[in-house]
Order: sequence, then C-alpha cells, then structure tokens
Amino acid sequence: MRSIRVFLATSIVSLLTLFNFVAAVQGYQSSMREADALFDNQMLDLALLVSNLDVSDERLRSLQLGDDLAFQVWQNDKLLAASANAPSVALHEFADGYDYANFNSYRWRTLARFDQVHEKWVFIAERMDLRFVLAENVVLQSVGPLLLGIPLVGLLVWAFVSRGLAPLRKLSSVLKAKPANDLTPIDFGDSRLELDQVVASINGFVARLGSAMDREKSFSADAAHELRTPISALKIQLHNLASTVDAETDAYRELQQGIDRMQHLIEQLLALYRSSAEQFNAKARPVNLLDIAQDAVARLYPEFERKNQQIAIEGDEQLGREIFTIYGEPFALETLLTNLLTNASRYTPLNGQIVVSLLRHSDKVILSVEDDGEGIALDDRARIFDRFTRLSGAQTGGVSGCGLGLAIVRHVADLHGALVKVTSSRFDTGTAFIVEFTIEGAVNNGKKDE
Amino acid sequence: MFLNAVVIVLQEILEAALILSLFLAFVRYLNLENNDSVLRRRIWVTLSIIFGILLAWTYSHNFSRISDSFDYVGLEITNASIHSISCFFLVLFAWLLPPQQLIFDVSHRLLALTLCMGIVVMLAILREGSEIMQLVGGILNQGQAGPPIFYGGVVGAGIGVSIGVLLYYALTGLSKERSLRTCVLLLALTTGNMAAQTILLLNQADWLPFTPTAWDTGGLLSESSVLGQLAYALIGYEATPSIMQVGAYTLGLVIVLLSPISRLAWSTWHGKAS
Amino acid sequence: MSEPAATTKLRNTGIILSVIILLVAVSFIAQLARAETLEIELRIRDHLFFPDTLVIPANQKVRIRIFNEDPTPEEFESFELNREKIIAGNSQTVIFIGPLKEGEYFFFGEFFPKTAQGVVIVE
Repeated sequence: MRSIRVFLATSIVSLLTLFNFVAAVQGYQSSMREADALFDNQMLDLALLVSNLDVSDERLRSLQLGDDLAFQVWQNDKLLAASANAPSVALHEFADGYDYANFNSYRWRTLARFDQVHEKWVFIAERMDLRFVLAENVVLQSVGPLLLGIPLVGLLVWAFVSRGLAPLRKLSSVLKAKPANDLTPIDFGDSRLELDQVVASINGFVARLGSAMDREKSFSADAAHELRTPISALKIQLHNLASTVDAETDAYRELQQGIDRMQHLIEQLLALYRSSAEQFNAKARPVNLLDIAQDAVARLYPEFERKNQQIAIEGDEQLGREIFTIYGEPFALETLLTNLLTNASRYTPLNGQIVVSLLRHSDKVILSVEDDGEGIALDDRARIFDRFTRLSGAQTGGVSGCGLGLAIVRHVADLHGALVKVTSSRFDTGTAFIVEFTIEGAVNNGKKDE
Repeated sequence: MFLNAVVIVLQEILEAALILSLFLAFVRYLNLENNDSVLRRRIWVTLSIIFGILLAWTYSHNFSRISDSFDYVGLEITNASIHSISCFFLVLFAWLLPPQQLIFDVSHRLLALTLCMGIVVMLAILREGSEIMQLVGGILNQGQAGPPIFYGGVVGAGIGVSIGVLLYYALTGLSKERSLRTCVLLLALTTGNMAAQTILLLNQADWLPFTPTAWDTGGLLSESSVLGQLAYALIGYEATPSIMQVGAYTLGLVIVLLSPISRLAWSTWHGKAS
Repeated sequence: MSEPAATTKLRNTGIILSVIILLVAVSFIAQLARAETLEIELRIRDHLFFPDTLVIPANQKVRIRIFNEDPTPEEFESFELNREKIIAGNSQTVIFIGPLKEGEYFFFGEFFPKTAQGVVIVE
C-alpha cells in the first residue's frame, strides 16, 4: 500500500538533499576558484618582491623558501638566481602569465613576469597539491555542516509530515472505529481546511442514508404490520364464508391460496426487517448450526412428507458438535435455514431428495443445502438474491414464491459476514446453496455491511 | 579530492539508481504488489543489492589479478561480459513482460521477471560498486584526504539517490499510459547503452576492430560538462561514438522496442487498462 | 497471442546469438593483426603522468602500456579518446587507442585530476 507520509517525506528529503548538495558542489567550485585567484595573486606579489631583490647577493642563491614555493630569476637566458628546490632549466616559457609545469615529481602552478625596469624574468612556482589541499580544507569547513545537517533535516521532515497528516490519520481511525450500523454524524473536532469538506460530505451522506433507511424500514415494517390485521380479518371472513358457499370450487380455493401467499409475504417482510443490523448485534451469541439445522428440518418435516421428499442432514461430528458453533443470531440463522429448506422443497418435484450438510474447514463452517430439482440457469444465479425476483415458470416448475426468501438468506448471511454461493448440486440435476460462515461470524460483519 | 569523489560516486550511483527506479516503476505498473509476492518483491531488491556488494567486494579484491589477465585487458573483458549479460537480461525482461495487465497472466512469469531484475540490479551494483571501492579503498588506505573523499562520496551518493527517488516518483506519478511508455523507452535506452558499452570495452581491449567515429557532437554537448555527464550516466551519451557502437546501441534499442510490452505501450489502449 | 510472440522471441534470440558469434569471429581476426601495433609507455608517479605529452602518428593503432608506480589506484580517463580504465596501485595495464585523426586528445587521472593530466598529440 502506498503511503502519503512516505511519499511526502522521501520526496521532500530527496529534493532538499538534491538542491543542498548541488548548491554545496557549486559553492565548493566557486570557493575553490576564489582561492585559486587568491593564491595566484600571492604569487604575483612574490614575483614583484623577488624582482626587486638584489640578485648579486650570494645569500639569495641558497635561499630556502620551503617545500611549496620555488623561484627563478633569468636575464638574457642566464639563470641569475633560484631557490634551492628550483630546477636548473627554465620552469616556464619566457612569456608573461600563469601556467602549470611538472618538476621535482610534483605539479606546480607557475608564473612568469618580465620586469621592465631591471630587464629580467622572474618565475614563481607553487606546488599544486599543497595549495589545493590547503584551499580544499578551508572550503570544506563550510560544506561539512551542510552534509551533517541532512539527516537532521530528514528526521524533522518526517516528524513534521507525520504531524501534518495526523488529522487525516485521526479521521481514518474515527471512521474505522465507527460501527457499520452507526449512522450518527462523525464528531471530528480537529477542524482542517482540507478535511472539513470531507467530514461535512461524509456526515451529509450518513444523514441522508440514515433518513432514507429509516423511511424504508418504517414504511415496510409499518406496511407489513398494518397489513397483518386486515389479512387476519380476511382469513376469518373466508373461514366464515366456507359455511355459506361451496368451499370446493376453484374460485374459493384460489382465493384461499391468494390470501395464504399474501400472509406468507408479510411474515417474510417482517422477518427481513426484524433482523436488521442494530438489533442483530445486540442479540448475537454462540450458536450451533447443527442444532439450528436439525430444528429447522424437524419443523418443516410435514412439508417434505407431503411431497414425499427425502431429507437428510450430514454433519461430521467426529470432532464434536462444537465445531459447528459460530457467533451469530439464532433467530436470523433459523430464518436463513427455513428459507433455504422451504425453497428446496418448493422447487424439488415429488419424491425428490434434499441434503443439508455441514462441514468444518479451518475457521470456516460451510453449510450447504442441495436438491435434485430442475436447477437454476447460470445466467439467473446472480439475480436470484435480489428482492422480489422470481424466475420464469419452466425453472420453478410452476411454483410461485414471494421472491423474498433468498433476499432474506443473503441479508442474514451478510449480517454474519458469510458468503452465499449457488452451484450445481451433487445430484445429476438441481441446485446447491452454499453458505460459508466464519466462526467469528458476526464479529467482523461491520466492514462488509453497509 | 572532494569534487572527484562527488563525480565518481555520483556517476556510479546514478546508473544503479536509474535501473532500480526503472524496475520498481515496472513492478508498480504490473500491480505485482497486489499479488502475494509483496515479500518477494522487497527481498529481491535487498538480496540483489547484498549480492552485488559482495560481488563488487570480491572483484575489488581480485582486481590486480583480473586486470593482468588476457594480456592486461582482463578488466575490459570482464566488464564487457558484465555489460553483455546485463544487456541480455534486460532484453529478456522486456520480452517476458506480459502484454496484458492481468495479474494472473503475470504470475507464472513472476519468478523469471524477478530473476531478470535481480540479476541486472546485482550486476549494476557490481559494476558501480567495484569502482567506488577502488577509489575509496585505494585512497583511504594511504591515509590521504580522508574527509574530502568522505564528504564527496556522501554528496555524490546523496545527489544520485535523490535523483533516483525523484525519478521513481516522476515515473509513477505519470498516467498509466505515459508511465509505461517512459519506462519502456528508458529500458530500451538502457539496453542500447549496455550494448554500446560492451562494444566500446571490446574496442579498448582491441578484441574488436576499429570503426570510424560516427559523428562528433562534442560542440553541442560536451562529455565533460555537467549535462554531458548526466546524459552519459542516464542514456550512455557519447560525443564521439564509433559506427559499431551506434550499431550496437540501435540494435539493443530496437530489440526492446519490438517487444510485446512496447507494442502495448504504443497501442491505443483499447480499454485494456482498468 | 503467445505463439507469434514466442517465435519472434526465438528469432531475436537468434539475432543476438549470431551477433555474438560474429563478434567472437571478428575478435580472432583482430588478434592476428595485433602484432603490427605501435606500443608506447606511460608512467604514473606521484599522481603525475610521465611523459605528460604522448606524440603518436595519425591513422595508427597504438598500445599504451601504463605503469602505475604510485601505491594508490588511478583511473585513466579521456573524453576525447572515449577511454576509461582503472589501474591498481603498483601495477601495469594496457589501453588501445586509435587509429586517430590529427589533433590533441586530452587525458587525465580521474582519481587525481588536479595533478594527473596529459595530452596525446596525433601528427
């Protein structure tokens, strides 16, 4: 993952280093040029001095100038005087100006100056290496601190960048700590020009989302609740009607089925909204999926029996029943299983087979419900979990549901951080619904649920 | 001594930093960091640097023996081998790069790509490191000019690493298309550079016959100028290359530019990128 | 998709291989011609080149045998000659230059450029 902090710190330190060091090199070069000019000037002064000396003085011939300097005085191609370390030949051309020469195993800076008054040539030589080392040591005194400062600057940049990004880190930790179902505005006291818009926008979204969800929830829940009473009344009325009209007519039976379907739809709707996130987290506790599966099968047994379907539960209990325990909400899980089983029974023909199996795989509990019914076409598999989706008659065998069952399955699975998949069953035909729970179940559902 | 150390260390570090930045930019392009190879990615950089330094150390320690071999042109032969091997793996790298951005398409070539990058970086460190070791080791052992060389080395390394880091951010900061194009182009130039260097070294050793100078751009951009040295380190600029060098450079350049990845880089990106 | 790429790759490997073979063949021919090469000596002492001026004939290949008599290494470098080579302390080495056109070609020791300077004069 790329980090803003690393990017800022390294790019700033790199830029600082680059410019600082290039400036240091520039400073070094210009200082060295200055030093060079200074040394050259001194040589000129020395040349003036030497040209005014009395060359007839014998003491001048054996004068020791030290290692780093040499001189010669020439007149008419004759060496009048020289320092002890000067070569016997002319160390420079007989032309005014500066040059370089190699003698005595060293490289020398040389100066030739023609003295008009005394009509003689004065040559001065200065050792390059010593002069260079001298100049360099002086110049480096000023460059050194610049280099040693860079690590310090680096640390400071890191500290300041970290400090500057602290509000952003704080905001992200506030957002991370916020439960998925908490739709209250973020309280982010640390106001910053760059972040205020982000916080304001998030809070705006959260508020709109919250009110929209509230509206939807209350509408559906209220509508379902309000519809319950008239449906119950309707059922009673229908029951009463049976005593006055012929209950065996098709019209009467269809009316009865219609009312039953409507009641089922409303119960399902209520189940969907009962298991919403905030209620869910409060009720979650360790639940054994095998228990839930057995209860559900027992409860729905009459329905399987009516269609003469075989129902089996497979669960490898070798490691004990506890291996199927996950952290979740029992009622919601029961609804999930009930819906999967009802679904299987409904879309499996008479004398069909249904298998519920449980598997433990590392930290996963995998629940599958398989049947040998018609199966679901590949194209349809993605959308069957959408609310109010019903497939065409051919695949459902003419059976009609309310289109909410699998939406509830998906919803409950999401609440548990579980994954729902549809594949083909182990039989020649038919569908397998696979729900992969993690044993933490509801603990980490917050991030996935919106 | 300060300035020499700056120039030498900068040149060497810059060449190695360029290659490393280039590869890291490629890795980022390939989205390899999203794969499960995050650890391996960090490791190949560290490992190849360590191996490179070890090799450089070995090279420096056997310097005289290598130098005296092949009738005193052992250095040229060794360096030419190093350059041509680098060149080969750069070409291989370019041709192994998948022409799609899909991760699963990459994963089976991942090892080979990583190996190519590792070898090239290792050889770059070997080449550049051994020269720095010669300078620092040889001169410091004589007890001369310690601080100036040290300061110079630090300044040179600082400038080189900074340019490398900024180059990496520049490459990764571009849009995906431009980043890929620039990376491929730099890869091609680096490959051409290596090929031309190989020829030059063999010429210097008299293992290859003389060919006349192709052109002289010394008046336009002198090799001794700062810009000229930068161009030398980055794309192998020579003011007076021989015809054979130009040929080798072009060959390396073209082989990389013929690779599927560069065809992808210059295709019109038919919505392949996400 | 992968098959044409593979054949192109094969073809390119072929190109590289034939170039290498060519290089090796040419180098053998070059080895045979080596005897006619002119040889001159260059010494490095106290970070100075002796002599600091090398005069060589034009259009002639020259083998420069460099003796480094200093304990420190030196790098013979010349932008004009396109040459660059490290010489370890107290050792000798060989650099081939030319054939060259008439002119002055400066060289220097990269490790001690303030003092180690010289020029090749081609006449």
